[in-house]
Amino acid sequence: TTMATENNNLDLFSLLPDSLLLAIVSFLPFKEAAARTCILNKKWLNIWKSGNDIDFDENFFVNSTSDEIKQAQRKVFIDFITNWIAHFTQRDINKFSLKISNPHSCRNTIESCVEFAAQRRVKDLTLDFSDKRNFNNNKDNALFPVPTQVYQLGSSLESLKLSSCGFFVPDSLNFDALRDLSLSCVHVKIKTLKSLLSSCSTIQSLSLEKCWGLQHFDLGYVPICLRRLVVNKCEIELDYLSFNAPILQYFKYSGLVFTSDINAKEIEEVDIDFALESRFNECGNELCQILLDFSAAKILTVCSYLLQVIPSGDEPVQIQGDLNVKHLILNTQLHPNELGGLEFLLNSCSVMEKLTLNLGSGVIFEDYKNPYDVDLKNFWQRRRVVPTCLMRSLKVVEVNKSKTTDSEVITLYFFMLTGKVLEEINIHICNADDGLTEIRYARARYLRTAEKCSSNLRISVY
Amino acid sequence: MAEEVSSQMNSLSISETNPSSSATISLVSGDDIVFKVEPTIAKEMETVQSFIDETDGKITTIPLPNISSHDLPYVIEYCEKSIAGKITKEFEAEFVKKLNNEEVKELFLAANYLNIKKLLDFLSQVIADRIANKSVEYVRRYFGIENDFTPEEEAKLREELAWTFTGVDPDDEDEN
Repeated sequence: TTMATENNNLDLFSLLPDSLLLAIVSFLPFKEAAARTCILNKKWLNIWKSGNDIDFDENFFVNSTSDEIKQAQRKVFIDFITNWIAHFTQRDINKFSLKISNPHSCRNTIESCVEFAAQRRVKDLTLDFSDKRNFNNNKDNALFPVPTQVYQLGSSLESLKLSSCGFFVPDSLNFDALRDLSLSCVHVKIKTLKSLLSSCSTIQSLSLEKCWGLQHFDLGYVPICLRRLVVNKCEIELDYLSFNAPILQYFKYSGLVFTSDINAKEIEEVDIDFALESRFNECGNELCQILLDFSAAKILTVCSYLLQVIPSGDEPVQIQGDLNVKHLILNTQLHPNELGGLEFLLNSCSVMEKLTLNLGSGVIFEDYKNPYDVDLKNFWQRRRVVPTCLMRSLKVVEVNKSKTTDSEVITLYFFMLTGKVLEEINIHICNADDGLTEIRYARARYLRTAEKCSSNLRISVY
Repeated sequence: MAEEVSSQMNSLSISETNPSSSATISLVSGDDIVFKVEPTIAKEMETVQSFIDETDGKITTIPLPNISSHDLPYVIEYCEKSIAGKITKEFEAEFVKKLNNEEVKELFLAANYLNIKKLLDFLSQVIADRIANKSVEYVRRYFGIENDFTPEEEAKLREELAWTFTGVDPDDEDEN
């Protein structure tokens, strides 16, 4: 019967309509699809060629370290593109992605690619001229301007991702359908962003990564229609962020501490990381203002820097206002220097239901200033007031990459002793190859035997 | 053999849980085993539903000669989860773990025959995952494809596509 089934399959598969086989092919990455399917037989070759997602990536072709071989590989890549475009049948395409370094040396190829994509009314366009092997080149590459046809893709383009290229938006730009704009390693002025956001109100998602040329980040008082905004490690001369985004739902920021004047009443999720700060500053007031501007957020992620610095403001133990955070995520080391900040957030998030501690990240600053002469070694032992969330709402504590340091164990023990409605503490032990894993499991399991306030509390160690 | 028995038990337990309600639909597999299912399940299978609609619901026993009693329970399970809105990544991962390559193919054909869009999409992804990093010869065997290129054509194509042939796994995975 096995033979019969096989033959049966053989016949049936060859009878399947091309559209079904194309569905399989389109789940494969471009290169995989090329390697596995087009060479099967003529039918599959045609199916592969009928795909509407095109991904030309230099990294598929160029992998040598020798300059000479690299040049030859690059030529193969460019010939492949030229040949592909020349033989492509006339139809609309969905995605077009071109990743190529040294754009100046292949201007014609880039222009014909963009023309090709424009003629076929591309929906999703990616142009990436960054040099993965040589990051220093990326600012030079950024000078290579995006071919002007990109700006005429107005009616079809839904998603535009540009990396390491020059983005000079003409005054009369009309992207009617654009929803998603992503700029990485691009020189961009705040004026450009403002005019883009006001002329293209369809843009829902804006992502800026490692962009420079921004004097400040003041988008003015006119409401913007963004639902998602990501500002990741950009160079902003004046650390000032101001915008009115009444329907913004998601905000992610990584960079220096900034002065905040933001309206985001519908915000759901915020992730803030001061990854570019290299030293301790007493800027607790600025940090409080940022948290207050995003007080509607239900999910909040903050970094170790904030934990160390936030008690340095005028109010060292609690924010003056209500935070709506239901789930707080801390990227922390639970170093004693961070405990003041942790307590500050516990006090400030009075309706918090879940706390996640992602351990092992962040820099501990040596010039840390103890805000109110507290005994950091015996921090939790000296607490007199239990934060509201521990009395009323906090149900789940999740600990990732735990090394069960004294500070971690005592913090968890404090939660156990004071958490009236705690239901779960889940400890995921750090699996570093340092021979201490067993000891860590033992210390975490020991917590199970300790006294606890909530009879429903279950402690699990993974 | 064990698999046949278990699929028969499965069909029995399905009929028992829905005792003789006239509303149930009977699906008859190619090897003549009857699976009684709720009408909502039938709705997920466009081919079955259009058959019922065409006969104004008078006929509730539907022969599915192309689908074996081994595969049909998987299809029903997927449809049940889909109706319950419980198609999660975890469910799909567990579901696919139970299936060998031959079964994935059979289910893909069954999903196509029954016209179940979600299951087809899901299985397309599964098949794509299973042929990624495999040699051309493996994929040809898998789909039962006859190579109709002349050696010269194939050599030329392979040369054009030389950039893609890196990191191929050896052909040793569950072949029957």
